[in-house]
Amino acid sequence: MRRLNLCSLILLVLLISLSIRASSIAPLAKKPFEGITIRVLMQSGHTAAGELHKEVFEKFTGAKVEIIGVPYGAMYQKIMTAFVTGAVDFDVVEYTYPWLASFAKYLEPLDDLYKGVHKTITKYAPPICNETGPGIWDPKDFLPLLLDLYCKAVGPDGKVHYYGVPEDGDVHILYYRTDLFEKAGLKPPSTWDEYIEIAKKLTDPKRGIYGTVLMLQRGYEGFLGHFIARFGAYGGKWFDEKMRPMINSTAAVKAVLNLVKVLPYCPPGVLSYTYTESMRDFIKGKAAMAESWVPDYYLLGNDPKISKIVGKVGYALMPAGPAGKVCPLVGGWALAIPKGLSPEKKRAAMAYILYATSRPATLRATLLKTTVDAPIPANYKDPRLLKAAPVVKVEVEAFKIGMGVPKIPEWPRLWDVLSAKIHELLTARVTDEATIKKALDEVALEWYKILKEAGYYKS
Amino acid sequence: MKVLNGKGWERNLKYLLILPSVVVLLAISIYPLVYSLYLSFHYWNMSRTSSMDGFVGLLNYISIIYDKDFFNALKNTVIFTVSAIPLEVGLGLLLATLVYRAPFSSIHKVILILPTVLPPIAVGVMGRLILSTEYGVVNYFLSLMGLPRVDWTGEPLWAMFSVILVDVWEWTPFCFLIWLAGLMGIPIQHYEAAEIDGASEGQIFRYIVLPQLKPIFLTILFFRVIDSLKLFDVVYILTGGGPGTSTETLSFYIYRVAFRHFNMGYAAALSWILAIMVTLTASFIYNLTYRGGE
Repeated sequence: MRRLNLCSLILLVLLISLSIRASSIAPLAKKPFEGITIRVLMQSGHTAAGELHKEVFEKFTGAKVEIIGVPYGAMYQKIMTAFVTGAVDFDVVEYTYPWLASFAKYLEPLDDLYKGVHKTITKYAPPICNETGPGIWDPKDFLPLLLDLYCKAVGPDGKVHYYGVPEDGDVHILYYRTDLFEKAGLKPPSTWDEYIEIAKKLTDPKRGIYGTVLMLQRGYEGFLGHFIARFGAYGGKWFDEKMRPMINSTAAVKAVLNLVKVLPYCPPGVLSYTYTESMRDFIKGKAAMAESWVPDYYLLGNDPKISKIVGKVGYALMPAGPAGKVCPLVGGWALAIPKGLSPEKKRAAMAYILYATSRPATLRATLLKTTVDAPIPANYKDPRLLKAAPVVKVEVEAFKIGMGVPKIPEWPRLWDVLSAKIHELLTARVTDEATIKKALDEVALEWYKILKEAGYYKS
Repeated sequence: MKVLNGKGWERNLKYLLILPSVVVLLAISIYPLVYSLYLSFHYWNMSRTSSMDGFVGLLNYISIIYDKDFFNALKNTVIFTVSAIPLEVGLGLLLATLVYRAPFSSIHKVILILPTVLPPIAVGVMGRLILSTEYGVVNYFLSLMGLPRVDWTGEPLWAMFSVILVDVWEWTPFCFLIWLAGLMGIPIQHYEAAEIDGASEGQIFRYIVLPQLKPIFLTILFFRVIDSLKLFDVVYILTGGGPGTSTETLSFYIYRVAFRHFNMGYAAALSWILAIMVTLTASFIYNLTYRGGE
């Protein structure tokens, strides 16, 4: 009996100690988003960054993350159709700011996040990032200029709200081949006229080298970048103070003319080029100059696995107009949450966004050459990034002087009309200013009709 | 029989059996059709509002009359249709005659019809790769012959030619298959009788083969014309309607209005105009076939 009691006592002690151990382990093993799946809809070119964030986020939170890549060209209509039909099959959505005016009413306002509520949510986000050290999400990290541009829009209540968090700061700069420029005794062009002269000098079709490479597929975002860089530099503005189109101004005519004049010094087929073809031609050594996003061509151009121009990639701000104005396109992407998620999903989606846009996570993504770099000035000063991609030094400056596109729901339609017309002029190699002006007059009239139909003019 | 017909449930059984098909048809075909007609009389800018804005009567249809882009797309569709279909029909007949006369194995016939069974998107992507200015196989062979590289999709004329070329590549095998079936359906006695009467090969083709292939020709024409008027996928992948708007077909233009401009009411009106055009063309060809059959 005594033996039995002793055994019982030992068993009891063992059980108690095991239960204490188990209860001390349980909170550690329990991850906050176990069993929750978050579907993240991203532009195909950004999924590499998404996959990096997914890896860490899943490990720390227990959530399952599905990254869905959609080509840029199909993205707007896919998201918009999903919103309008109610067939939303994603929990986090990446958008570029010109679309925000159309998307706002379908997105969850994130004002609380910017008022400090994020501190209660960041505890769910992964606290560390091995390569880049600790750090939590802080709205003060972002360049204020871009925070407003990327994330603020008028909501259905007629008030301005925050709807997203900046994820990728995009601005166009000029890339050039240092070896070709040195050999020819040239400096990067300081004006758009000089740009054409240099492109002409460096074009040598026999060696398969062209003066510059552009992204001129109709409707493509890069095409918009090439137009804005010239349009803005020549002093162009989209609208007057009464919102009447100014797309037929002298600045617009000169911008189109400059594009037409540079065509002979671009690779054949450039009128159907997108980012892929432009980047490919530049890093394969087929173009002396390129206009594209920071820091993509620098990172990819210095990647020995894919590039033939390692150590030969120079960069500069875009050339200026006659009055010295430099005006690169400011693009950029943000992450947002669609309306209608369950509270658990919403919390998980929010935590994912906070992690994916936090300073350490975005720095890691840029260092690992995903071409996604958040507009966080502290990142641009990080010695590791400055060593890997010194090109980011010009990024903040480019953001400050750059030009964006109007944040109105009609913008995709306006751009479609404009790009189709410019594409026709480029295809026909029109150099007569009067003909260009006439074509742009038609665009201005069409823009006016679209805006009138949308109720911009009360009379 | 009378007893069976007298029972109500058995009398209604036929309706019950076709009910699932009717419900599916109503849901996925008739309802969208009626809804699109209703939509075509309304204004709806989907990028601003999530439901229709208001009744506009015939305004969307009247606007089409003044729409230069519509007429440009119509012109491109007609150019494409009248260029691609004769090539597809002619080449298909040539191939069918060769295969009918020569001892081609089943494997060869399967290989010949492969492009038709590929998804149109895959055809477009392959076309884009084959016709790539810098890395395409067509330009590679041109350069081997000392000829300059052609910007297949960047120049208006070449771009339309490229769209036609890819469509011909995709659909000639379909025409070939139907022609071959037609040739195989001609009784051998007709050839034998003609040979006994001393007819030459040309005369046999002219007076025996061609007249009997007329219904086949009209069948091919029926399917290919309807399909050509609706061309979208190849244009979307290969040229995106460009350069400029030089390869923008009616279907592509409707897509642009609906899913880039989100002008849904106008897009619905355009779709109805296209549907009417396709129906009229199809009816015309059908009537020709019917009269031919008589």
